Amino acid sequence: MSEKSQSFVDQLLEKTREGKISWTTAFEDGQFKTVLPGGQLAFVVQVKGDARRILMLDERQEAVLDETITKAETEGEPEHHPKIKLYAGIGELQDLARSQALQVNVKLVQAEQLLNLI
Amino acid sequence: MILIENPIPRDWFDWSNASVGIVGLALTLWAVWQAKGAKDAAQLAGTRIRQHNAEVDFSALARIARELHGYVEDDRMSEARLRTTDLRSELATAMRNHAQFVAHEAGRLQEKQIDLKLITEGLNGGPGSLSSTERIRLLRITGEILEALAGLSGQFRSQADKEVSNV
Repeated sequence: MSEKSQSFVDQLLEKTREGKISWTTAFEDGQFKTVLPGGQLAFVVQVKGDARRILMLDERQEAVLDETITKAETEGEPEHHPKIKLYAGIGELQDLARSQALQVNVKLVQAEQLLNLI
Repeated sequence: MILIENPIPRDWFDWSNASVGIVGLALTLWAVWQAKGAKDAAQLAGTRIRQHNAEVDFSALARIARELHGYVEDDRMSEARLRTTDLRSELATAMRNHAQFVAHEAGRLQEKQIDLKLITEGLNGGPGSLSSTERIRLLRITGEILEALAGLSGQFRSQADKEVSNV
């Protein structure tokens, strides 16, 4: 399942960078969601403590894919181990999703402009 | 037949035959028109009944959503969790039963369903495990769900009212 998860994480990273996917905040802290066009599939990405999770839901909100990796699971593994790559990928995706959902860049620019006015 | 073989009626017998034929044709056309009208009326009535059912179901959903929002406001998370589960299953049924009326809102409702799924999961950790930002987010999300469902119910009601005033 890690291989499939990695493939989805890579695709989501790519589409998010291209601006083709938009993320919104979900209920839990560090949790973001995106519903694909047509509403048949949704992805949820979450970083909670040292655990990172990718979840794929179908139109009935059944978890088709649910993968959680903790920091402890990656420790002691060789550098190119799939779990390490997936752990890093989910972290990167969550960071990107957070930036987009909270419009971090726009707000940082606004903050700078406001501070300059003072 | 008389008209075809001998197109010009000559006596009262020809005239009466022709008249009977014309009246018969008119009656047939009138009956067909009436039947079509009846079919249209039956279809319209069927649509109105389905629309009314959708309004009733979405009003009930809005009521559940209002309760859920109230429980979150009052910090009654155990009750909120139960109401979230109810709302999820009821909304899924309503979306399936009234697909033709909610097609334009399907994406939005699907997103609300995902919110409800994630809330159920999040609340399963126990009410004590919620952070202050999660509580605030929960209030916002349940408020948005209530708004969406009440809005749909209102849409159905105003559509029905408009159709009644057009009759």
